[in-house]
Amino acid sequence: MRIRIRHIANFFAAAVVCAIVQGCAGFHVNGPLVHDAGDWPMAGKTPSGTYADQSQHITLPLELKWDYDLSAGAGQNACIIVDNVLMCGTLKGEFFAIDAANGKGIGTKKISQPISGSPTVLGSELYLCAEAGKETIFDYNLSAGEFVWKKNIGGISASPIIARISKETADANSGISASSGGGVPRLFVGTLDGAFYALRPSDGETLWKAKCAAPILGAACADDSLVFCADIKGTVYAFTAASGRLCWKRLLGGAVYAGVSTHAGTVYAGSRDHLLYALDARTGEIRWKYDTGERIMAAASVSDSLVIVPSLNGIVSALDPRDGQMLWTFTARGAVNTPCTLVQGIVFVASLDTYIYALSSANGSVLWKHSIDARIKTAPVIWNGSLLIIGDDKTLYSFGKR
Amino acid sequence: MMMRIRLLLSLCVLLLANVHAQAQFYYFGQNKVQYTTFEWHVLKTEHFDVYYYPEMKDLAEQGAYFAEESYRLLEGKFNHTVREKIPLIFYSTHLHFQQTNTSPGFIPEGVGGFFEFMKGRVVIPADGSLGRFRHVIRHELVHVFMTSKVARVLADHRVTSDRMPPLWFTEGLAEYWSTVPDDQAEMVMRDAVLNNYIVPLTDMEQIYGTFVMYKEGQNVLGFIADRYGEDKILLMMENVWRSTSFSDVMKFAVGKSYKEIDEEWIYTLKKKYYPLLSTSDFAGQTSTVILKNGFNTKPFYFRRNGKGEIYFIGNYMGYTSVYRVDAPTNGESPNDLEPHVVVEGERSNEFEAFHLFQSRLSINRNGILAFVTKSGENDVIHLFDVNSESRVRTLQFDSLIVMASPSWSPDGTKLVFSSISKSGRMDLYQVDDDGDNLKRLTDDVYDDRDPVWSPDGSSIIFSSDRNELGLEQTYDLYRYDCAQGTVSAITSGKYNFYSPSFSPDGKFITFTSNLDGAQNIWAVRTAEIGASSMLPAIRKVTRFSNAVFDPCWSDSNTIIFAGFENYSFRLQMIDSAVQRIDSSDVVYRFTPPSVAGAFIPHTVDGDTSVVSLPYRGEYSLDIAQSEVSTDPVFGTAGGAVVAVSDLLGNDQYYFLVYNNAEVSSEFLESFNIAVSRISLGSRTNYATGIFHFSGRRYDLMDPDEYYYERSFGGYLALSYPISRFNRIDGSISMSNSDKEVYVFLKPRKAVIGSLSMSYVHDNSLWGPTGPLDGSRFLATAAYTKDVENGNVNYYTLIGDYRHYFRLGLRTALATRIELMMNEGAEARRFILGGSWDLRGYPRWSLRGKRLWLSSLELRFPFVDQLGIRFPFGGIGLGSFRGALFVDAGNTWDNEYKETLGSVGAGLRWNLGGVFVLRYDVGKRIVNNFSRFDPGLFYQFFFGWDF
Repeated sequence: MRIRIRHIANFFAAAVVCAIVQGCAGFHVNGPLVHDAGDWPMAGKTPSGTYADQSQHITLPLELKWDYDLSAGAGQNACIIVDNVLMCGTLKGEFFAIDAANGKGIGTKKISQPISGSPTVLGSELYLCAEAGKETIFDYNLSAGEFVWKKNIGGISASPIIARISKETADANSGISASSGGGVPRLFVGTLDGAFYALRPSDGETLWKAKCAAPILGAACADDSLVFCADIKGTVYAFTAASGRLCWKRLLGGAVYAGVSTHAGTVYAGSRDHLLYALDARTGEIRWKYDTGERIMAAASVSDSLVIVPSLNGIVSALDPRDGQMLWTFTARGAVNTPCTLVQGIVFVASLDTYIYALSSANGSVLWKHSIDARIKTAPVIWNGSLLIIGDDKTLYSFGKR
Repeated sequence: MMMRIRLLLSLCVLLLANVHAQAQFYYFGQNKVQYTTFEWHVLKTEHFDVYYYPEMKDLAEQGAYFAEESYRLLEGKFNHTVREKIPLIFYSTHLHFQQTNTSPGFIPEGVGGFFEFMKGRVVIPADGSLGRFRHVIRHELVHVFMTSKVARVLADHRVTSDRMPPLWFTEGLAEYWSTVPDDQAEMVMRDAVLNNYIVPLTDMEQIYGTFVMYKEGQNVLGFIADRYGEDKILLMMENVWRSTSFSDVMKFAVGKSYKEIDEEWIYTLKKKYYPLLSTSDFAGQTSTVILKNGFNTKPFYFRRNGKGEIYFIGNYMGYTSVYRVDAPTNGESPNDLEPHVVVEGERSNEFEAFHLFQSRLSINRNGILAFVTKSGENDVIHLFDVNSESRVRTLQFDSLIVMASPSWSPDGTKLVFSSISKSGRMDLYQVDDDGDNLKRLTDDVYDDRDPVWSPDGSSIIFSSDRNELGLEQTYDLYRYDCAQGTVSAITSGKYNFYSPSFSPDGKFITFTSNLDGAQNIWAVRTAEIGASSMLPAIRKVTRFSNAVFDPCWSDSNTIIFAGFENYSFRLQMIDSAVQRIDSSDVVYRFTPPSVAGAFIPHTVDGDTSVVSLPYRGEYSLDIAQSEVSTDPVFGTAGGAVVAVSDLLGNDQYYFLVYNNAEVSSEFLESFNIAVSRISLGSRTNYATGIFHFSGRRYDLMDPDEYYYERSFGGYLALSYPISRFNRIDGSISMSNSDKEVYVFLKPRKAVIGSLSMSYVHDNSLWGPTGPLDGSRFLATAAYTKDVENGNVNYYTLIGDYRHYFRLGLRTALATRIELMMNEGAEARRFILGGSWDLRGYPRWSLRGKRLWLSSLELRFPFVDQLGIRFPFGGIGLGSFRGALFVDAGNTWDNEYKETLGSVGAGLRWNLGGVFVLRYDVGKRIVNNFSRFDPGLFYQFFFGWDF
């Protein structure tokens, strides 16, 4: 009898140790990650933060392929996908690696502080940020399954982005190349202390740091030479990507809680004063602004012919990027507080009314919709013909063709 | 574990047990009377299920529109949606609302609605004002959204759900996001700042749950929004997961802690309000203060036997009554004035409740005082002769639920008053003094209040929201032409005008207005009303920095009014009224002079997506609890309790099942099952149930008696409330009982029938730890018989009387006498001893089939406020009360042996309004109350004072 009890005790002790080890140990993916143009490696897909991928073709209607229990809520941008590996952080401070094709878990890692922005990936390095804690930005090598570096630059709610500066301009501190092909990568992120950082991805060294007037909650964006961010006092900043020199700043009529996006020489910022501002990327002058009628909590999605901005009254407005004229609107049954996603001919809209909508980009008509029976407050991600969303039932859903 | 299941079982026993046990627990309490039978319907909109009754369909449809409108607004403000449909239960009047079963307790007069988070219900009465209806709907929906939002944030972060924002924040935000700062908010904040009782956030626990806390919360959130942006409020909610200290959460979201915000906020308030004292004064400084203490409202002047008297509605000791005080004359010191009770209210059914701030008084030339109280189902108008101090007549109308502010016609034969019908509309009515010829003067959706008849009888002046800004709760003065039946405006604009009153010669109408800040007394010349197409000019009569109410004229050129100052409502007076009006240098002329049209309320009527259905009863779970316990004596038992009730709380079902079998062969017969239904939907409340209990028991009443009993049966209990204060209870039960006492191995079989009747009276008024005023009485007679074998056959008589003599506002002498008797075969024993009855003796140490007990207790305040300040914040421990007591009594079976007693002192500590801790020290008195026992006894327990 004693022996049996001892065996049982040993079993439970081993189980506890395994659970602890499982929680603390790293995980790794096989081989280096191979990036593809169809990947979604950061919030907004590209450094310009446009949430658009015109190369993607989606065939409607979609069906639920798989779902995955994250066990905690997620921020506005939560998941990215590179080389078939989906990575996602949660507000409980865990990040997950999942096989995007079948929804099988690859591994989990805890940092024990809320991750409210999406991670970003460069090669096999995963960069993620925490809202609080002793360390707030981390570099995790997915191949080795261990942290390369981590440091504290203040709490971070925003999603970090990676943009590449050409070697020459980096050396000359004068420019940046947004193309993903080459150049020197830089990691840009704003903090809750109101500081904006450019870090060297390889070792986390601070290359430059700029002080903003208030906390930065949304993701930055970058064009070919400048990097843009906005704070919750409503100021949009443009810094040279290489040196952090302030080129201009523009105070808007209300706080900016969402990220900013840029396309074709224009920076877009949605504000709590209900207006979407289109600013000249070189000067910060207001080109046009559009009143959505309610607070804007999501970054605009931008393509050559469309600017899509949602607001908390559930109205999604499609605007002409040239002059901000409204082309069409769509009204969801609930607030929309996440960026929309643009692919070929389709605008995906996620709403707190539990529906994911697929709208015609031509006229806003509903092509398909589906309720997941939970509020959706995380931006839709399109990858390889699949749609990925996270509900506030703490579940990650993948839709596509079976 | 055992304690828990015993507690669980004892709860079930309370609910289900047959009468001979029930009689032991059947006690006092006032009654929530279901006077009205409601035919409930459900209006289904996109986000709400609106529950209403057909008579108020229009109001329900308007309320549904307000709810959907508020939902859209709050969805944006909270950046959140509420996924489940929100149940909105509407009542057309506050008196109907007070009958609701969605909350088990009484609904006080001041409660404008509530959100009950167990079932997510929002329960709201209308009060005649659509603007206030909209405000309250939005206020409660802020609570719904905040609860849902914060729960979502905490769940997302997997943080425990105990980190709700503090009450000042939740209530302050509900006010801040549901209305603009109104007269009341301005009045309270101004008074608090200028009288130095503003409480900073760091000490907010000192005013926890008070009206001041609500208004301070609203104000400080407005300050944060103005200075730091409204987004910071949302940011606080979204970051509530960060810390258990809301000050830390605020520090993150706003960048300032409580202490830092306090410094900025209070400085801003001082900067705003202190300069007022350079141009205005408190009424207490520049007018005659007639009565300073307590709450004194709605004064009316009357000359009787050559002497001026002021009648008013006051509250000094917790009961609201009509009082009279002599009007001060020149040279008389107001400090000598003592109010005299004219009509003692809130102790009897006929004067069940005065509406303290809502209804004015009026006395005609013959000395007949007209006033309103709740009496039974509806309000009534009482006509009371102030000369003989006797009631002349009571006017009651079945169709009118709420009534307010009766005003006599000049000849004293008619009354005009405002009233809310079952539809929820507040209109003006006229009636003869004998109750005949009831005539509706206005018939619309607007809130018509405070009517007063002109001295020539040609018109009625009243206050109403029938203007463009009525939905923003803006009130103007209007004139009703008695001959033509038409209504015309006297004032206009975005300010409020209330409480018109004519001067005795009819040349002036005085009223209150917030036109230039604080609510002051203004006047208009009656000759200017309707003299041209222009609205008449109005003149400021007083320059008070505090708010005043209900001005009325005396016959000696003075105006008497109620003033809110230093958080009390004082009765005050100014002289030279006509001269003040004539010499006023503040004359306001309305621009533009034309009157905008009245608002037209929106409604969901016509919306094809909205459907209305009869209410069929929607049941949901209230409690589900399972237990497993083990005990060396009672063995192992396991089971569960489930309670469900319908959305309106009218029907409740309780299910109990547990099993205490020790071997498998006993499994079936060891099931303990009870099913009970309690129905509260009609005036006669009833409970029915069936049960099967078996197992080993310890009989509390008969020490050392362990036995096995298997019983099954059913019961029916009825309770008929005669009024709020009196009721008749009755019950009948039948059970089959097989009992075996272990020690003597004595089997007993019985089929027990029980019958019980009780009369209960309770009009007590409670303080923090128990009753302070009024009386309570219980008489019970019961008979229990074994109808088959005659093994059990006894009767029960119980008498219990308690009277509370008020010695001061918070001091009372409490008395009690109890007599109990069980007589017959297998009669049960009563128990005595302990902190609840005969103090100084071990709890339940005295047992007998007969019992008497007498107590005398002096209750008084001991420590008013005890707080502990730590470096990280403070804790308010509330108040402690003291008691000096003498008890006497004993129990016996056949022979009375001696009278026991005790004398001592005690402390009482109320924890959060739901629990009282008691500590007593004293000496026992034994030997027929002739000798003190040596030493002191010390008793610590819980429970309310008797």
